[in-house]
Amino acid sequence: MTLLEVQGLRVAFGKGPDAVEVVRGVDFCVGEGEAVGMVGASGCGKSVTALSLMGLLPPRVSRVSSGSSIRFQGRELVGMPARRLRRYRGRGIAMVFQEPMTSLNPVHSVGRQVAEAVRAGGQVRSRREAWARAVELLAEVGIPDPGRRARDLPHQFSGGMRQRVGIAMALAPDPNLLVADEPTTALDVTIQARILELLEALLASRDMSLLLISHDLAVVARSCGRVLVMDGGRLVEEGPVEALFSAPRHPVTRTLVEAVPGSPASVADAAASPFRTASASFPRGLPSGGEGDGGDGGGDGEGGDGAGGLPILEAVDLVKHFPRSRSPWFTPRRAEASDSPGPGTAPSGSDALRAVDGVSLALHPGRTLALVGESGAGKTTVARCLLRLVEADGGQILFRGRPVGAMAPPELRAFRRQVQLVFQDPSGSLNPRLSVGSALDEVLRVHGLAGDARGRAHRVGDLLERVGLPGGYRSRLPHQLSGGERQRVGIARALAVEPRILICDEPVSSLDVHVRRRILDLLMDLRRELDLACLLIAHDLGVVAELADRVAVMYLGRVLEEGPVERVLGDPRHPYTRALLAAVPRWEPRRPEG
Amino acid sequence: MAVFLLRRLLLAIPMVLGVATLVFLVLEVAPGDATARYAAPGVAPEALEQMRRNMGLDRPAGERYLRWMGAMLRGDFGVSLSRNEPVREVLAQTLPNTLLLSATALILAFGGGILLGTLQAVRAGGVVDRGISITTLLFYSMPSFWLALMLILVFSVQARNVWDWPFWFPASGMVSLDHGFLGSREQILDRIRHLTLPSVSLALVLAAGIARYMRASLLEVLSLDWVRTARAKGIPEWRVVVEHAMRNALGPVATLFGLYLPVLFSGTVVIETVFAWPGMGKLMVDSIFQRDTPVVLAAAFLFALLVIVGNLVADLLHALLDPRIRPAARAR
Repeated sequence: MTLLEVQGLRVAFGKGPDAVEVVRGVDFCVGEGEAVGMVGASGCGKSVTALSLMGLLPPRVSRVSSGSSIRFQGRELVGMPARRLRRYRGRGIAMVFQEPMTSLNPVHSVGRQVAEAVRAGGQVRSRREAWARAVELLAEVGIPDPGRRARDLPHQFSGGMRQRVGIAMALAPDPNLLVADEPTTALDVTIQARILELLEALLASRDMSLLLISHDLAVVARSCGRVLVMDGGRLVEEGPVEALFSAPRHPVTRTLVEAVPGSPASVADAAASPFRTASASFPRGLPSGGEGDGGDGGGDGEGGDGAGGLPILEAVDLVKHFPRSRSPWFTPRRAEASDSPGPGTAPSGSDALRAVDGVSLALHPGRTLALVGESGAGKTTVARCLLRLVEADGGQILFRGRPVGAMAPPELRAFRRQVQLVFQDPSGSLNPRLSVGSALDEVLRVHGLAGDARGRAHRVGDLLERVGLPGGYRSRLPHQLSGGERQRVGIARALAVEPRILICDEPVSSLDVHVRRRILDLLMDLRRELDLACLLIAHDLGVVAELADRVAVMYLGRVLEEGPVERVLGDPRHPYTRALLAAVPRWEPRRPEG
Repeated sequence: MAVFLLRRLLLAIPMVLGVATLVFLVLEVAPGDATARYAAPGVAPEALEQMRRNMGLDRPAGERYLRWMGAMLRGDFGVSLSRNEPVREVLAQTLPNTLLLSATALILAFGGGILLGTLQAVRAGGVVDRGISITTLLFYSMPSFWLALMLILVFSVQARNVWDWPFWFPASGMVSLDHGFLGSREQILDRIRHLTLPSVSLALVLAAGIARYMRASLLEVLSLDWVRTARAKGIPEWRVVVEHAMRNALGPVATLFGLYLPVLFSGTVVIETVFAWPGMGKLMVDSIFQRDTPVVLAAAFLFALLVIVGNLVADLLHALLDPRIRPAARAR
């Protein structure tokens, strides 16, 4: 029986002639007890579709067209007065949102927020009962010691735990349909796996339908039988998940399928599935120069497992501890690391947070070292120590054999120019009021490079060409660029000062699958052409497999395992590396009876 | 918590001493002294000189500063030069009046401002929002003394003498002349009627600013993800605003509380003079004209203390609104 039926849904943002239609005629239905997946790149209208189901779109700036129809349990929701629509929120359709960090009220205890949802559901009247039910729900979603933790505030929970609270809140009124909008996108891969397990278990134990939205087909494939593929505000393909994998029809579906490790189509793109096929399949992971690690002997004349030759930048036994505030009033907003698997939790009892606890690394020209691990592992702190943006508490950093710690300010400046950063969020790291051209020009001017205005203009043109942007882009402002184009500008800005070392901090994790591909190609080409040494910080093992020569797996400030990328990902030795690899969602064809 | 309070209070000591020193210096640099008002064509210069000696004004400034500071630290504010009364008693008469006026104005300003700002944010972009915006901007840009005079003109003079309204408000003093002959209920009413115009003219200017802050802050909070989460639960919109959004939006307004106290006290100086309200503001103005240094110093000192205490209250309000900045409930 059909629970939800959407027909001809059109949603526009803006008014009059400036209105932009974001959802352009979408039809689908969700049956009772059915789990349906919805996938597509960001901006394809998935979230807007989800929000319009509950009438949660921002009023005044957005409008659901009058011809649209959303029927829930046979009742038309479009055009229903707010007072009546409210009764379907929570009780009929409940929602789990993408950002666990921001989707809970920071000043109410999690128990209170869940209890509120319980009471809004209408089955429970008294506060005491609602609280008791809230604690039960928190237990059901796997919050340890729920009776005590219910009194805690959201900031006292890790991201994964907060998402569990969000799920408990959605489950509270016993909804008929749960809409989960990218519930795991903001989470680490191991925690994502646990949240997906939880959703699956809940689906099995409750009489509930699920609409699971994600940009990652692998996430959806796990728990949903039927998948809707969206692109440009339209539904471009729909079908059973097996059919999509075995015979994707639309190009968008094909891109999505190819990005999934282990899917039949991704054989053509072996770099995306290195974990299964190990060292045999690295046609794209290595530049054609043959300077790989796996015993090649070509390139710059090094061989064997270790990276021979002189490292350009080396860290020896790096240590960085952050003191925990002892202020009796302003306690630091620190999330508990209670969602992390592996060897114990953060060192307790000591009064310092050991962000980096004895890390040794070496960067070689023309090679990429990847630093992987969950958030909080200390990856970014290592990068900041390398640049001396924060002073390390112990250990040594050597640049061409010279200790960076002993450098005088002029020498340090020269060193910093040799090391450039590419940031995760391309929009946050560009000044919104500076055009692309002037942003690049500024860097050149500050460092006194490329001579006069004409020389600089010429160089800006070169840089844009280098990162694959047309020359006309120099007059554009950041908001006129797409995410991928912005990241290209970020890379161009890093390259402007002709660095020898590039530190890429999650360079593609905020980009869509197909954009990601092109940025990775760009980074690979640049490294080869300019003989750059790269430090790649990433949590996505697919990216690492493609870009890196060596990989270091970090956990709680320590490097647990380091080695050539084929070896570490193909034959992981440390149990934590294995756990990390196992957590990557992948396509596994179901058994017939399943 | 106690440690925090203690530390803040200890920090307040140098601030208060600094304020007292500054005021002393300013009065020292200003021409004339307490004998100036006795200077007249018929008064012999020797008599004035004698007077100066009696008041101790002939001593060097440094010595007077140290003596005054020492006495003040022992709780002795000295004797008023123009009233021949201990400063302590002068202050005891005026401080409660000022506190009554400022507290009323504060409640009106913050109550009204928060209410108006909330109304605006909930109806953002609509007629109500724009109407309130224009009105508050109008009051915000008015000098308070002029606003006070206009209120007197409308609600005291015209309402009573020309338009013959059934209600009007007295324009000066704290009580009517016949206050002593009224019954207790009438006495309270009489006081409220006298309090209305001065507190409203003080509050209107402040409320306008608070409303603008509240509107901006609440609008920002209402666009946050967790407000959408609250709406998704299906709870009524007014509860989303009041229980979820408002508490978070009040943070900047609590900061404003600390910032507005000095504005309020300098406002009382003007407003008390306009409405002949026997408070510290009027006392200060009168004493400055009389070059009554001990009173001016003591009043400035008290105002500084009130501002510091007010800022402490603002910090406590913050902690009350946002449990994240409260001390950790349990040791971890």
